Amino acid sequence: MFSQMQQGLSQVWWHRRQALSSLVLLSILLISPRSFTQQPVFTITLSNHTFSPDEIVIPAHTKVQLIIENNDDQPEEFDSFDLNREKVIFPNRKVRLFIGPLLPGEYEYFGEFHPDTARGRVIVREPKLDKKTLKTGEPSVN
Amino acid sequence: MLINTVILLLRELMPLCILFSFMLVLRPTLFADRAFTVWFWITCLVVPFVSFSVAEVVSDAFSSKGAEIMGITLLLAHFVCLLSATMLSLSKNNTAWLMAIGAIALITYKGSSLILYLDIYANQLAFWQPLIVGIFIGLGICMSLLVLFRFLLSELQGHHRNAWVMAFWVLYLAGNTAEISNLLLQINAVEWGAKTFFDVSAYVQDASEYGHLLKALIGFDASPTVLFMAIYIACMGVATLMLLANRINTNAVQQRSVRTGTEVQV
Repeated sequence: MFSQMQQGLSQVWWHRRQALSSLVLLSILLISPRSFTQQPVFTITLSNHTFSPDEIVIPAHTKVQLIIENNDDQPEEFDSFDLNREKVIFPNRKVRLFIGPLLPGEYEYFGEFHPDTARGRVIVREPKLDKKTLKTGEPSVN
Repeated sequence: MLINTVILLLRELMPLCILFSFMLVLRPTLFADRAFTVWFWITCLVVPFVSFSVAEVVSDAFSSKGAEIMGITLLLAHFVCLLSATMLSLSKNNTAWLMAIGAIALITYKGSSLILYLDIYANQLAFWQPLIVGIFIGLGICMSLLVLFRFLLSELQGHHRNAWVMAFWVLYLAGNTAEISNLLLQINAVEWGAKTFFDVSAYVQDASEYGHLLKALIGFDASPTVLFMAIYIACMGVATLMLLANRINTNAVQQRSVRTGTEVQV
């Protein structure tokens, strides 16, 4: 009986240690300064349960930062099956989330609480190499 | 409005119904203790509402990364607790409490968005009728799924196909836990693994009925990222290895008890 209890306790302790080490690893990952590195920034505004602009064009194969501002007096959930993103935006708040790198194509998003009106698309295009790009090294998207 | 309510209920409640099917089959005596049952259901109702009431504060915390960090913590807690509960069969009480904590973590994660949606429309009288009808339809579908899936799992268990039940359980746990990848990528916490691993959206779309059902059952994603697949496979591997090790250990204890003539509760 005692040995069973001891075995049970040692198993519980092992799981706790495993959970603790996972949390420490996760904290290190989340606090790391990676999220402050530079990415192209695109802003979407939500007013009257409608996204504006409802289409944004972003470069392919590049991680992009989206800033979404909710100017409504109700919360909305930015949701996209294509982009695998889901984020609640409370009234008069601004959130930022990262998407990509994506392949060229069209990726739909919508407001989960008002899907009839709050809809939009992210259009991903191959970056064009123009004169400015060759000078600066930063490709433009048209 | 009506359709949106039903879809939202299916998205958020279907995984929970499948969780309850598993809990009832893996631990048939889980709700035998009245005190435990009362505590469990009260906590299941209270914790998501508490989470909902502090959602705005949590969302603003850690440079607007609070919601994601909380989501990751809840999903990790759900995986560790439910896997440990499956393994720790030596003490029934420990298993029940661990299983309850794991379930409450998942209910809190899935429930907060649903409560937020219901809160928006419950304040507007014009939407009450479609909202109530939507809730009834959504709950009806979810309850039907719970009964059917529980029946399927019980039949598998009854026909000595316990390995199938455990395989479904491992896939279910891995599927839920792999959602961590989207949260990590959303806040740019990891640089690696954001590329799409494969795309089968031409055959089964995430937004379709099959997509929702497969998502709830095994965490299906039509276009998963490399990180999603890595976490999914890692969780599957860890869960399978631990369950196999536990089974070998349990068999050894049983054999030893048969040899020595002592009775062991397994």
